[in-house]
Amino acid sequence: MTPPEPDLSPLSVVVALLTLFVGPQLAPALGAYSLILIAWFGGVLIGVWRLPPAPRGMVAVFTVVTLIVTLGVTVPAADVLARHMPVLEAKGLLFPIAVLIPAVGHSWLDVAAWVWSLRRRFSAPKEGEQ
Amino acid sequence: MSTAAAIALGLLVAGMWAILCRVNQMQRSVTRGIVFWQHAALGLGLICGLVLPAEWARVALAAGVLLFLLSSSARWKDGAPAGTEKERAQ
Repeated sequence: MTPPEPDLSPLSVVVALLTLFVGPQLAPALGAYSLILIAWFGGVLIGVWRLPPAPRGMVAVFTVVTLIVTLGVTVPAADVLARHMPVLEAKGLLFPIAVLIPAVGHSWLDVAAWVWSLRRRFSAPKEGEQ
Repeated sequence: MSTAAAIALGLLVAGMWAILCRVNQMQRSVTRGIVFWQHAALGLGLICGLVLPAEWARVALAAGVLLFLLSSSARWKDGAPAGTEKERAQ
């Protein structure tokens, strides 16, 4: 019988490290949010890099808003995506989603507009159809 | 929370804020990518220092500082880079 392959996803590594220090009960929850915070900051760096130079107040607002949205949205979004695409695992999606939210940053409005235009294009009746 | 932990928290958040302010001054079309990645490495070291358990926090901070220094080593290869000299009297 072959031994199971070790799980080397970033979350599993962080959880394994935390288990050494905080115990197995708290480690999974702390591990997920530690990972989300690390990913969020990486995403914020990319998001601020993509922004044209802005006043510090605007950077502070961007940082706080993306932190709140990332903490609130990452776990539910990962669950929803994993439910609709069984190939993906919710745990493995936490890191990329938490990076993506602040990294896309001010372009989310453009993304929303693009999705809306796609939706309108596909839902509009084609020529000759009634 | 102990005094040392509170001071560390304040210093780490201040460091992260300083890095965000520097990245904000960078311009994608002008600033070299390595300068961004150098600061990103340092910033990620700081956030890991904030959220990871103490011993791994030290590892992350040390790694961030080392990556920051290594990624600027080319500028220092042939002596101190431009902008580091004292102003000479005319």
